[in-house]
Amino acid sequence: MPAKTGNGSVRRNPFGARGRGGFTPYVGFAPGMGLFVLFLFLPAVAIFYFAMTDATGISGLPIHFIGLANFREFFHNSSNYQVIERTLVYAGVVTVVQNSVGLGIAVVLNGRIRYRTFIRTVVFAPVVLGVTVTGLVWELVLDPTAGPVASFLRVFGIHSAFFGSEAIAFWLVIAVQIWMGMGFSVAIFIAGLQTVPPDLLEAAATDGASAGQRFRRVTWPLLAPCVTTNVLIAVIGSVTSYQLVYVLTDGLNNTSVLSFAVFLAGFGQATGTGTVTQTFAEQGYAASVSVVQFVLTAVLAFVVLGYLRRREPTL
Amino acid sequence: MTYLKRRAKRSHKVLPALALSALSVGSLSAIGTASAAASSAPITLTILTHINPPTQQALATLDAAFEAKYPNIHVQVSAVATGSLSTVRTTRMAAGNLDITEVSPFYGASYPSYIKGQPPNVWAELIAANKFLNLKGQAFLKDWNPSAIQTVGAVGKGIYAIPSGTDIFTGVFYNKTLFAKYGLSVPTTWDQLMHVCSVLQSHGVPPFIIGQKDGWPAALPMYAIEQDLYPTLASRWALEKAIWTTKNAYETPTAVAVLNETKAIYSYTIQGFGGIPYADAPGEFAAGKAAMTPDGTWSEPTIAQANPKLKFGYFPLPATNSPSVNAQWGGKYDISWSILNSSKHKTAALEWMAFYSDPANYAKFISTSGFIPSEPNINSTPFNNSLGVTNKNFSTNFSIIAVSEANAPQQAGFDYLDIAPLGKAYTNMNQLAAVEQSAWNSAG
Repeated sequence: MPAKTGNGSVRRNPFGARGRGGFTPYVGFAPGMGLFVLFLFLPAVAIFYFAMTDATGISGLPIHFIGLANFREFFHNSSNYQVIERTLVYAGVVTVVQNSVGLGIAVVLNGRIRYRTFIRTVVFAPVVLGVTVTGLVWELVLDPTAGPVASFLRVFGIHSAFFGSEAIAFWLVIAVQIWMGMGFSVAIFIAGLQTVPPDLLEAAATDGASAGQRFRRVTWPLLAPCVTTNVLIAVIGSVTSYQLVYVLTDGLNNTSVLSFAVFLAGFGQATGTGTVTQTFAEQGYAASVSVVQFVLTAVLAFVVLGYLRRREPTL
Repeated sequence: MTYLKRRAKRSHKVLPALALSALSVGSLSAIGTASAAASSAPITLTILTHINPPTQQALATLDAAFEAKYPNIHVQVSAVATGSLSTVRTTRMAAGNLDITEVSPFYGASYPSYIKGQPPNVWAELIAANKFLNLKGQAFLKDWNPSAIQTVGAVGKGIYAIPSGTDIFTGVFYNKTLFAKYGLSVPTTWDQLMHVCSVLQSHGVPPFIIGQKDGWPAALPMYAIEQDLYPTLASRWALEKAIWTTKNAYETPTAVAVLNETKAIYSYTIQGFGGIPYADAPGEFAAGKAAMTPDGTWSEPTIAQANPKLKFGYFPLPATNSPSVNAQWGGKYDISWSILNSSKHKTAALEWMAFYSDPANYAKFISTSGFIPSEPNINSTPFNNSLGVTNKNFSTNFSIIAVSEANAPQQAGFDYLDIAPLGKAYTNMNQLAAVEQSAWNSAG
């Protein structure tokens, strides 16, 4: 939007410079913008085109324009609706639990407790482990024959296949995702809590506010930007994340989510009976699934952002 | 543990290699066969396969001998997880840095006439797009059983792959010591098998272990049951046709019997087997965690290495009460090898195939890999010899014939993934058959 000068006239250059020097800022950010367009914007646009082709990803094979056939194929398969539903559940549970528990931990760790720094480090550690290490750790912990959890449950006569069980595998993946991302949420909340002016809290205490009232009336409103950041990161991250599903279950036992479906279609993973099945990539179809995922992510992000942003100015 | 064959790259000059590659490609048509003398310029021949420790060991021995004969050629084998093979192959084919690749046998490259409306077979598309080198006319093809070459490599008028061998996957490894301890003998009928399971379980020994976390190994006992309940190749083709042309193939008494017997096997399998990785199952069996494991003969070397002192055997899983019907073996051709047309080292790749096909070298490959040989007059391993496999008692399993419907939620064949305790944990097999039939019918 054109900026207005002090006398109300419209100034076309948002950087304020006039004449030949007015181009200088554009020259400054042109390389960055160029890289963005080249490596992010154009590929993103290309995805919409590829979504309407039968591209396989193997060079040399002909690529045909097939209109909306990939989308029809996706929505014709009833199991894909379960994948979408699972993706929404995954994003919802991860976002709510990770942030609510993370906030609680942050509040505790922001207080004066012993070994605070050490505990913060422990809480944050899973974030730096990475997906593969996290997957290996939890596979060992939940090994159905020799893992510690299985051994403990066996004492009570309980047996489980854990990641091999259709009944609980999905919830276990969610739990591991929360475990892995919790430290990040806690770190952001602690940073936010440390920006709350102590004098406001002291004033509230002087006025007789209880600890709960101080949190609800002072701390919580001032944490709004942190909540927005954390929630957005969790929503977008969980909708677009497939790595944990890949490492822990390979999408089996009803754990596949949209992003994993994109990966599966795009890179031709072998599925089903391993003795005979060999599949190749269907990158055109994968592109169409990623478009569905993009729309879902965008809708969720705009709704969440719209709500949280509206909440911030009212504080 | 990784079985990826990692070899330190030998120092070599890139430009001479590229020059050789260009010469190789340019002169290929003139060469015609794999008898060309190798150039002295160093090159690296890349081969892609899936992780299978015995095969990697056999390839390591073979490649060492090959490199000794052709000092300028370094063979680099990449072994990747089965689930990642397609991904890696696709990307490396696109990148053009692969010479020889494992492929599925090409017998699925065309559909039977009664199968309509399915996406084109990708193997057929790749061959039509000239992605694989036509091996027809190569002298080394004469080393192989003609039927093997025809089955794994023939598409149209060309030959595009050579085999590694066959393996059997309708049998069960059993722990001889545990059997002897409880006075059990190898079962030859279904009733005897159930008796063996009952006795083992009564002594607190899990009868079976299956590594189902990978999603497919629980199919193995079902494949064995299919082999007996559809006892001829003709009856399996009839089943395949009925699945595509009738509306109740999954609900026939024989089909439901397959599900019921599979359910019985699962009920005698170690608890939590749905979460056991397939790679762990042979080792767990070798450690005595269970008395039996339904698996393919490809796992024999792994079991033997995991516990060299283990006394074990392999018997065909008996699914009927007729010992003669149960005595048959079912299986498939395993890895097949193709040369990519995009290879910069076609001459070297053909030299490798010729060396591999040479009966003397192939015999060594067979002795380590554990495959049943696909060349005549090659001694198999003592284990394979003990199975007594002949043309009369071996036939292709139904799982190799079956073609999946692209829109159906399940693979072709019976829905073992929802039999208790797996998946939706059905205990009523008539109900499961009806659900599967309904899903199949609505997908068409």
